[in-house]
Amino acid sequence: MVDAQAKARFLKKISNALGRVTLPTTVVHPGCGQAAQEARLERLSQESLINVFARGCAERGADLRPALASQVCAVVAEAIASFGGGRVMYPQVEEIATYGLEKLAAIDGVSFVPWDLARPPADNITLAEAAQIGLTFPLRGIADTGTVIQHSDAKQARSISLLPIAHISILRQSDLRMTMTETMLELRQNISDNDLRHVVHISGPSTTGDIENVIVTGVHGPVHECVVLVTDC
Amino acid sequence: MGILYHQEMSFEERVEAAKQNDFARKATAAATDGFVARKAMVTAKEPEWADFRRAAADLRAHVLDHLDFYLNQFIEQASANGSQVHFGADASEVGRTVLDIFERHAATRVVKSKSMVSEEVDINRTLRTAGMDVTETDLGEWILQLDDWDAPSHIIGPALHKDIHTIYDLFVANGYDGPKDAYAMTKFARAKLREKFLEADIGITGCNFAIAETGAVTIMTNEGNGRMVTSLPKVHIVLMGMERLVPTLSDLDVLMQVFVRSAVGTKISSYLSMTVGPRKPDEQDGPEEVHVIIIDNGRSDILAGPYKDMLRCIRCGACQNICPVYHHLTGHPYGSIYEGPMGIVLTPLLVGYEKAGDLPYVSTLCGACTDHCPVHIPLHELILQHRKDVAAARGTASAEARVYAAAGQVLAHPSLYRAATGVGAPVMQAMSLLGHRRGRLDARWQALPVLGNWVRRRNLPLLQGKKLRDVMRDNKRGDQRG
Repeated sequence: MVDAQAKARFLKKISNALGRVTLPTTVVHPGCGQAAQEARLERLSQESLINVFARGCAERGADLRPALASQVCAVVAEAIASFGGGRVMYPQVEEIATYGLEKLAAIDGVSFVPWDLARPPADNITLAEAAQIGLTFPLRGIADTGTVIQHSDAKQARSISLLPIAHISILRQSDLRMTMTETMLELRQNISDNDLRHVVHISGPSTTGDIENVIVTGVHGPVHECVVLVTDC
Repeated sequence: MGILYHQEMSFEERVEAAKQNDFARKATAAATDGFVARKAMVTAKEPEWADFRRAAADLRAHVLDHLDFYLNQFIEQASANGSQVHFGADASEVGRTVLDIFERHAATRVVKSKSMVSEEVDINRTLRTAGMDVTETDLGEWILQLDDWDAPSHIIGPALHKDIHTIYDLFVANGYDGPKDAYAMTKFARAKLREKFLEADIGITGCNFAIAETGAVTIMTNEGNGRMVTSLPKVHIVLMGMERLVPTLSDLDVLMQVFVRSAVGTKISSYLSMTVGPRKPDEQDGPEEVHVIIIDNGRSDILAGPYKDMLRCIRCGACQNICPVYHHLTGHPYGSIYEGPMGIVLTPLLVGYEKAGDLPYVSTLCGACTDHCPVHIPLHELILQHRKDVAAARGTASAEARVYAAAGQVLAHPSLYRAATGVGAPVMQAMSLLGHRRGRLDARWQALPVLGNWVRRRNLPLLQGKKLRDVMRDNKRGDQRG
């Protein structure tokens, strides 16, 4: 929504500043940086995707746990234990059944709580805020920077990966890319195809150095970030 | 805050005040040296670094050359996504637009993510004057808020000048009863600010980069406050400098290769949040309304003139980190929210020479800023251009003009130069005998035009009886004879 006259006035001043009277209707994009992007991808691809991702996660302070699909539940259980158990909030998506994650509810000391769409949003947010762990399934990963790209939609709310003390993402290796160059191209399509309204690149836990440059983990976002990489799908 | 602060003091007084804060100087030096060192380490391993810098510079220049086109594209896409787009010709219009949104929502509580443009348009004062409960959520900005809205001293680390003792006292005054320890104190801040995020009516952020092809806005933080502010309140207001735009998501990748590395020496920040309009009806969190206020505030005038390249700036702070003057002064002597080399170029463009004409002289023109700018802004050249423009605007004292005219004649004519230096050396020797330091001209001579400005602060070495070229000539003859 925009006031057309206000827009015209605003843009006219800019056009005039650029020495023209009318707004251009087309512009040829010069394609800056393609050669550098390709060179970087070629350089990084000398190593395996998983090795680069492991290094990227280590640089960012994220805990990477590779797992076969059949092992995902057990590896997630180990991660949950390392974060002290407690309430684990999860989205009601098909991957829960795919990896058999409903079994996590049976673990002592773990309360496995869904982001239930039947519940009022404010109640879900309150539950997420008091959760130890949030579990999500990101769209993509970037090996070079140890990043998971987490989208939001009706089932995967933003709060699940944001409010709890720890965040565990379960990422398929087939969704892992070497560089941001590739993921940005795919993201463009994803945003368009799925009408995505929010995407966050998560590269390790929340940090600050604002008190005498001492790096402290866990300011506003999660204190711990864990990525379970499903290596056979 | 507005762009300028501490204007009740002169620049020299602000410097003297900053000199009393030994901690601030050491902390600033340590932080900026750290950023520079880490950037060097990261980029040394990346042979593509120089190419990415060049690409980023070319991209920024391309966007500026077609800013009307790309802004129009962004506005159309953002509107199609359901965002409400507004325009702020100046700080007043931005303030009115923001207050109008607050009024429509009967909102009173706002959380803010760190944003230089929000300080530029003094939005905090506007909101506080209107009775709003404003909370800065970046830890450094919150610390400044607790200290009666103290001014930031660095673009990335606004509270660099504050030691832990000061911060501890501020926290204690706000309910903290833990140890004087960065970890425990951060945990306290997390809890206090979490309450604010959850109860806020409106979230206000800046915009690192808007993306024309998708109508999206991005915000990068390490702390996660950007995610909170853009996810929890029902209304999200984005304050966007009109030049903070990239055409495509692929272009965002190019800028990401230079931005965080230049700012703090890491490849990426912990979070890069991308908002593509308000949440969909079936989503349970995220803002129901997104308002993007595109701000001019003098930028279109800059675009039309010789300082256009300054609009390439991506606010990374690399120039501050490398600047020897900023290193020693720290941020507050500049008296502007924009400090260091980018600040002394941008501030006079936004507020005029009458208020900020001295700032372009806060530089040695060493050019390190230009060497380090990730988008190749010729900062030291723009600083020099400012000096020429300031001199033209202010005029030159007639005595100074005569001295420089005479000097120009002497330097342009070898015979005059030889005569002047031949006479100059014994004259200076004689003058130094009248002073307090033999072998130097000291502050006794500060009444002299031109020379006086130099000797007021430092002693001037004397011309020697023999010029270097004569010494070298004699040495060469000696070598040939020997």
